[in-house]
Amino acid sequence: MDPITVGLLALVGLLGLIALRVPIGVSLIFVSFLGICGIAGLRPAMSMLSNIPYTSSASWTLSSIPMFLLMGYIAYHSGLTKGLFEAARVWWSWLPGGLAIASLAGASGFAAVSGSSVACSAAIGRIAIPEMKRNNYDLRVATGSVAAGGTIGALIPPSIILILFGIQSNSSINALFMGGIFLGLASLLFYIMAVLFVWWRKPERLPMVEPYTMGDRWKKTLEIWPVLLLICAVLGGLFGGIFTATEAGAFGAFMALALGLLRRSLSWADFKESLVDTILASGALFIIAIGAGLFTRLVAMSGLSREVGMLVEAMGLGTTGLLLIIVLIYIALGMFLEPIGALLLTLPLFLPLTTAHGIDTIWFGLLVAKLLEIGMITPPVGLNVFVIHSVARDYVKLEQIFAGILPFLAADIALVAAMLLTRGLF
Amino acid sequence: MYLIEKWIGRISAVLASLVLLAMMLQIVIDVFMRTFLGSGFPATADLVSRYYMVAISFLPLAMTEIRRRHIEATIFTDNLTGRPRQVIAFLGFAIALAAFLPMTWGTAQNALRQTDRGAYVEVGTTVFQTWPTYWILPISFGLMSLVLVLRLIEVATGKFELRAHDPLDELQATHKETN
Repeated sequence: MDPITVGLLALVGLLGLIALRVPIGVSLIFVSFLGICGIAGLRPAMSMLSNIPYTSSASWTLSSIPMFLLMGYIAYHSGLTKGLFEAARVWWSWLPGGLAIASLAGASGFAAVSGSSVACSAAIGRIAIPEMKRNNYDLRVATGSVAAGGTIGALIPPSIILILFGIQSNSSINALFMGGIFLGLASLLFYIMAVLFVWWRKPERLPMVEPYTMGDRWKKTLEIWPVLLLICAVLGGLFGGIFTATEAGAFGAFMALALGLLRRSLSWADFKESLVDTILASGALFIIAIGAGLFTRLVAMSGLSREVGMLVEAMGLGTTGLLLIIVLIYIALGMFLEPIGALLLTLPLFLPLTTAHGIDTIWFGLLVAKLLEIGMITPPVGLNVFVIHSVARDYVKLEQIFAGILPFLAADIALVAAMLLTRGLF
Repeated sequence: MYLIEKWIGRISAVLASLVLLAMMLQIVIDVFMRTFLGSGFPATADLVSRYYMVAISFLPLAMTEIRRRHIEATIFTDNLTGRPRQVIAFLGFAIALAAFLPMTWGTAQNALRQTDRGAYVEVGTTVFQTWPTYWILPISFGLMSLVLVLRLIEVATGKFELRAHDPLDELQATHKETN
């Protein structure tokens, strides 16, 4: 068989295995092993299987991931992030749809401590949804805003998706993080406009609540000083050039631990749980990263990316056409796959293409992160929506949350369109 | 069978936790030493990548399967029940075993070679032995293979059933209300 055929078969086999509920990491390893066997023979395939896992895991950049995960989990389990919604609420509640806007802003704050969008939705949802329900908010908007707000979690640094993209594409994590802040805040702004739009069309869905006094505002803000300190230290150190990403993560985890102990809010059980959560998340993630490392070799050996590149050339799509196709593929994948799997699965094929077309890698990374996060709220598999449903199962149906997502999805599409239109300007 | 799973889970959790904490502390100490004393903790970058990261990447593998937390796309098979569902479960574990057995074998061979060579890295004037870290892989893959064999037996004897995935589990390892 010629290498291209093997490459294509491997790609089809990979998607088939994933659909049959074989874990994504295992599917990548299995298919890559067979594919490399088919192209180069058993010996080279065995040699890659024995060497690549070690070389791809023994990496300094990759080590920022467990550190940021640990920081996020300790902050979450020790209740450090608890006051974020309250603090956002006292400042924003005077606006129409103020509670929904506050949950979006609270989610953005949480995002600066945690790189996970699901954790972000769950943490804010637990507090914000009951509050919105008590104030007679329409439950669709209430749950939709929290599920959408969670997606900001994977854009504002620390962001696991952006770190993985940076490693795969050999680009600067700091540059990606800097762009992530910008894109995260842009998403927040677009989501706020979506809330205001809902209020403009259907004001009865978002009843006004009493505004707070300036005194209340400062009091609530002062109450969340530990988490503000943590965010300032980690992001300040990172962008001030004091820390590398790994050091920022380790320092952040250490600081969250120290704050939890000083405030006596971190019990032994919380501590153990933070460690176990970090370990399980790492276990689930790194096997996919290793599978992706093997799959990258297979794609290179089979000449698949070159062939796809030639196909794209022959179709005469141009850069914009290529980007539109990539956008559609990510939206389609995002409907079924969780983001990390979808990211590592596609980069070996897409990166050579976008590089050849002169698309800026940092910009592309941000676009991909945004697209993958849209997948977190689209049916049928929208992890953020599922987690909100788990939190508020007693009074909200899954379909209602998906309906509540619509205005935010429209905001996301507008933002992606804006990104495509302004490409090259930033 | 459950006893074996429980102990594999516990031991990997304790070992991985220790590695995680050691990694955090060493990096923090390194940053402080570099800032206040001018030079960092010796060989931090090499220790982190070659020892801690290799351990964090592979030790949790078996435990992640025990807790059913490996990432899968469940949407296309969620509607299956009864026998087809069991077949899907069996197939998944069999393919995983077919991937992890050659990996266990290959990385064990590699570890033997590195041990014979006495693999090391030189950092400044000190020499760090790195050959022991190569053993983390075959041990972790071997444990994972063992858990997969147990799973295959469980599926065959009807003691294991695929469940739908609740994303909230990922935030509550022990089902405790937080926040």
